[in-house]
Amino acid sequence: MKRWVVLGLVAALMPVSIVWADLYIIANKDLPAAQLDKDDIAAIYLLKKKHWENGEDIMPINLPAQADARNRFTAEIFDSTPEKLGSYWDQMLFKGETPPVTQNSEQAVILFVERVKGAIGYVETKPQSQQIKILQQFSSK
Amino acid sequence: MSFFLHSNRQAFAGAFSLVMICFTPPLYADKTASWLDAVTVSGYAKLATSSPNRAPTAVELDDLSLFVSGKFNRWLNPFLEAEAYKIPLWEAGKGAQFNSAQLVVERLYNDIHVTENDTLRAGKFLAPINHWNIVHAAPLVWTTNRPVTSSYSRANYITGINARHDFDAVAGHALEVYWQPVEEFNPKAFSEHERHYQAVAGARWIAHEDLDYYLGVAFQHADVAHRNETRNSISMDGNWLHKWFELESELLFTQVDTDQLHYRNHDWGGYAQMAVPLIGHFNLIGRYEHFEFGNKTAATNTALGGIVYRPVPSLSFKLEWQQTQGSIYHNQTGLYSSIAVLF
Repeated sequence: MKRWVVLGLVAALMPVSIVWADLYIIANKDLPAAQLDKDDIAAIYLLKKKHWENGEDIMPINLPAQADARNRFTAEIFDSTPEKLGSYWDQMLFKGETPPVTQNSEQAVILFVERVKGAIGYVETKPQSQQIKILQQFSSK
Repeated sequence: MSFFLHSNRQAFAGAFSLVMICFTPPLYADKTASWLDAVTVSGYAKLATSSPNRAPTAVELDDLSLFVSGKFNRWLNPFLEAEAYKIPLWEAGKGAQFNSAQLVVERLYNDIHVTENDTLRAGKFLAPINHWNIVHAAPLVWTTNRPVTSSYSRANYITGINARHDFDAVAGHALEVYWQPVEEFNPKAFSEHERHYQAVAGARWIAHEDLDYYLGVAFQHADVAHRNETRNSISMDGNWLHKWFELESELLFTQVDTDQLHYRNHDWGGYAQMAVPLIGHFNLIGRYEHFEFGNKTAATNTALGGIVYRPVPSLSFKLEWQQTQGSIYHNQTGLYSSIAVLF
């Protein structure tokens, strides 16, 4: 009986955590940037940082609101929710700034980044393409 | 409609178009890209029903706005917003109506990104006096009726130049300074209680603006058109988006120097607004506002309560009751509702 009580207490006190996969911030291999920190990534997705060091336009790529990777990305970079970020982008659209382009799948994000030099995206599956470079990796939690 | 008849305005629009045509072709060395890729077309619409105590119930298409923006290079980032507004559709006692509409160019400007942190804007744009004015699109705000504090007493539009410096892009710390040397381009047809401005200068310091909160302080000096009247305003506005509620407030003081009829030498006022998420995308809204006008004896005190259904951030259904005491020129007691969509 005592054992069950202890086990029950341990189970009750264990934190409920969401298991997340790795998150990769990716860009085209021809971009001069080798790595980006969280603030740079945040500035890009807040539509405040608009150009790469070589002057090329930055084109941030997004996933649908329901995608797990988008939840993970928003939590990791902004400590926030996709809804808040979506509202922010709506406000920026009204201010004349174009929100990130949404692609329907991680594969589509990878294809987009392969083809468009200034594009940046995020995926949970490590890309194998030679055309892609990983600018940042956030380990699973 | 008068915009199309005015020769200066035609010249302005012509020059703007010419600049766009001249600068666009060299932007795309990549033959597979089209200049259309750099253009975004968007807009919003608001259908409103009002049932104030001292006026007939009416339905109107309050806003039908279309905006087009281009991001071509550092030098050429034009933006145009054209808006049809206050289109009456139905009124109690008169029935259906489709007989009038107002058309205005709300914004027409070009942004030059001088550096990554410095932007120079020239043309007609929204005056950076507060957050509400900058993002006033109906789907993005919580209430059908706008607080008096957020719009009255100052120039809401500027025709001139604006310089913005971002100190910290992520924290949103920035400073904007603007100047309007001449009368507003293509102004809205205002009621007798509103005014146009001849020359305006101002600044807004944004202490912080991110996904969770913003705080800004604004100053504006304005000469009223066709009157011997000068206005100096200072205001502070802020918003805090917590998980369980959203708080917003603004305080404004305007010193008024005029030879017109006036009862005090200033306007001042403020409001506090709260939005609380309920279940299933429903939100409860409450607001209280006090405002004293320089040219009216009575202040206005307005309490507002309402429900907003917002299934996605870009679509909202609003229903609100507004109770006003004192001056009713800008806020009348009554029931108001609206449907607004950003597309």
